[in-house]
Amino acid sequence: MNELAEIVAVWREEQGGAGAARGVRFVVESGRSAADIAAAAARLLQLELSVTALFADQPALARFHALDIPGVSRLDRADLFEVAAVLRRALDAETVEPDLGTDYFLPEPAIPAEGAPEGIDFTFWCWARKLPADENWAIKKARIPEAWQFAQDQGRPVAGVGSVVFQPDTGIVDTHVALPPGMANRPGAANFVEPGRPPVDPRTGGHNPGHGTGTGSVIASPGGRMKGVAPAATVVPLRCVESVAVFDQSPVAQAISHAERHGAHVITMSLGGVPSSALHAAARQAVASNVIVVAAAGNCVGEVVWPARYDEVIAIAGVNEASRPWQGSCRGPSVAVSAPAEFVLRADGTDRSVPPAAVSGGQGTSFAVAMTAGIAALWLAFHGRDRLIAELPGGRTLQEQFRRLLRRAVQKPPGFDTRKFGAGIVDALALLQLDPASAWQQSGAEEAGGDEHDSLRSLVAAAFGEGAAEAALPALDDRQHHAELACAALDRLRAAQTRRAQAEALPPPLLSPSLRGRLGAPLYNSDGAGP
Amino acid sequence: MTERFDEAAAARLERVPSRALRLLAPRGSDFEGAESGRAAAPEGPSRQGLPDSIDSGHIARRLRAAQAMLAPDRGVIRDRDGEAQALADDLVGTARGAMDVLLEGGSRESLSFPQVLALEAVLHTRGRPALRVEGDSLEELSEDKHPGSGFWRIIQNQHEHAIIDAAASTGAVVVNDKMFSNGRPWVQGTAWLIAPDLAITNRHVLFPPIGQILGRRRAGAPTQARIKGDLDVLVDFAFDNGPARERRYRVLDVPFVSGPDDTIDVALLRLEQLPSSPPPLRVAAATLEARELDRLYVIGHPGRMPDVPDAVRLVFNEPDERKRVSYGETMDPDENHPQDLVYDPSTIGGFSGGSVFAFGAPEVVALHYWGDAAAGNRAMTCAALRAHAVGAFLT
Repeated sequence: MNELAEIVAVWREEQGGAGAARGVRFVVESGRSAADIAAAAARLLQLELSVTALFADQPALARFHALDIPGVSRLDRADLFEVAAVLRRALDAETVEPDLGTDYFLPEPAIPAEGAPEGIDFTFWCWARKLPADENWAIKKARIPEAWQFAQDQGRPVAGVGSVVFQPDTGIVDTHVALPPGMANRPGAANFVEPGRPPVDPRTGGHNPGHGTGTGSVIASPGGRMKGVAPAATVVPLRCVESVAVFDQSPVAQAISHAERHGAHVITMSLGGVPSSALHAAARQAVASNVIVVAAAGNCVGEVVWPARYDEVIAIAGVNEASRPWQGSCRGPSVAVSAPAEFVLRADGTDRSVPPAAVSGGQGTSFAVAMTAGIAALWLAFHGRDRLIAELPGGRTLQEQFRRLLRRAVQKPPGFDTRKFGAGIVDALALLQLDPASAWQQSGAEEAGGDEHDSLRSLVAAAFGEGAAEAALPALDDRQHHAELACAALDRLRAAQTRRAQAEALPPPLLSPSLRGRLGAPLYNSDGAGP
Repeated sequence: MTERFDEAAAARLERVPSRALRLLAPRGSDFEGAESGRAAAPEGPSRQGLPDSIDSGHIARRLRAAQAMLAPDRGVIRDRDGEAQALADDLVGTARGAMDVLLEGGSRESLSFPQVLALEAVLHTRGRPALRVEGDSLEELSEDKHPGSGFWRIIQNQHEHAIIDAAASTGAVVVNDKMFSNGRPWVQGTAWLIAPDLAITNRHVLFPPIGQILGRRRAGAPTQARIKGDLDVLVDFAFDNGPARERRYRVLDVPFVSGPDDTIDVALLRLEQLPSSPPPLRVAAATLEARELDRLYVIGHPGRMPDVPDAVRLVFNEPDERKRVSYGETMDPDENHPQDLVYDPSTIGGFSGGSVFAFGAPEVVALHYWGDAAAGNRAMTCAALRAHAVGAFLT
């Protein structure tokens, strides 16, 4: 029995039984019609399935289709990629990518008992223990109050008024007193996890309940014990993940596209994982429409994750009160700047009192990017978004302009590692003080460099060595394999930073037969010491 | 350096079944011997006290023995003795620093990786050898290769036949990727026979959290699994340092594997039946008290590592997947994981699924599943296995 037949046999049994598996989604990138794809896939798999447009009313993204197989379980990652590869060949598609539910973006975890077996994969090194001297250090470090004052002194719009920030995340606890009231019912608010329902975070299942409540509050909390960076901005929640530790690519891609179509000025993503053709296309389109798109560099896996890793997206790493890197921050040349990430005051979404009101310090690049999104809202309001767009030179985007200015208006403490943590630490006041036109006085050298292929190659090299990256070139040249290679590399990088690396001999990476066939040789560490 | 404990520190430390604290706490401290519930015996296997120059000397000697097996440097003059001593001094200094942290009430998690590894290096000098199996005999204990382990010699001589018999029925879970004609097989864990055609191992040997997954759960019967068709999985009972013998048995399927969230980490492998297979091991019927178990050994296959830390190299030299027997003692049980046997023999990845025996007892007492240099290694007791659904397969 070949691998596909075995997998399909399991799924067929699941669909025929009384199981309650949630189903599996593949995103098919193809110029064929949905009906054609559905007929061909059903012939191949002999399973109940449906094919619909992934992006509704988006002609430019019409080549992406959601192929949903209901009532089946995800099996393991290699199996999903194997089915995807077989579907791609059968459909003659550009790519077929499964939604994976990856967990490469670690939220703050519960700490396991000392010495307990479950501690082997716990990233103790990643999470700081020492509280800051000033719980409000984050907005002071980013010079937010000075920026508000400066805008007021200049007679300009203050605190982000008029700016619209869309927030793909877990949704929000809309009764939390540290959030503006009525957020979940704002125009454009949407839910891609439970379609048709408001983007309210039920705080059930998964890790880190209430994540979106925390990040949303960092942007626009109206005041009290904490105040958001841009309290006058309009934050629109989009529920596209149940937990940031379970990252499905296609709902995030849909959320980006939805935000662009519903009037987003800024899209902030405190989440991440592996590359996705659909997500990349949606992000590109948003940037081309002069939406500012920022994303978190990631937590606890070392290297920057996607979508932050895409050139088109502004990647934000994290620092602490002492202006040193937050110890869990992902890092690398794709980082544009760093922002506060260690015990950043935020609405605590785990508070189950009525109404919830708890505020506490949160860790992670989630908060660094939320702060930066708030700063983008301040900047757009200060200069006027329409005016900025009207004055853009031909072929330039607002994203490019903002990135250049953001990188120039930084605080750069002595010894700051600009190769890994971007140009410096965000400085809202300095940003507002810069002439927007000065962005174009720089050469293109400040832009993040390298395409997706190079970016993935460098990740594979970081995980397995240069030799392995060279050996992986046949697969790197085919986008079909990008997400799977990224998974293998991120698995290895994260494991290398846990006790597992010391206690365990790691098996060879989990790869589908199709990718192994494309590689032609095992993906060993290039020192050859072991699998 | 804190030589005595205040009550608060002692209370904190009592919650940590720390192998390092037990073996390396300073002589005369309130903590000495307290974790094991036993007084430290002057003639006991473990030299008590903080890491010291004796440890450094043992480590250096062990390093020099390992270096002697390396190819000579061509045209390069190196002070290998000096290098060994410097590394040993560095390891002992790091281990002292780690003990400072622990004795002052620091948690296990406040130690860095280098500190944990340095503790492992010192612990090894206190007599925790991992001996190679050489067919029908064991590697000889030597002061150069196994410093501080001389006291095991008498015990080994008394029980060597039983150990060899146990090792003969404990094998490596070997995986061969059919996709690659040029790929080398690798060892993903250890398994041991419980019936002529049935071996027991850990779930995570088949379904590791990171890396190649070997099986696929059956729809409608999720506690059963198939081996993936693109992999060959075998159990090799003769993968040791003895003469080459043919003792490889293909895994046909997985008649039981515990659920992904089950705290009992166990799986069964059905093997092809061939003549002359090793005899099954007897599985203990009841939990033995830690005091009854006292000294014990675990049989496993230390897996290859991309980068072998010095401390692991000190214990295992080169972890080359071939069968080892590690000696050690039991530690106090973990109240949070009552099904676990906690002990201190040297193990690394690849020992997962290994068999654990008390010296002198004819039955397996536990299934090894986890190792931690500082907090103790763990196995699931056979009593816990019998109380679980997998118990239906145990005779």
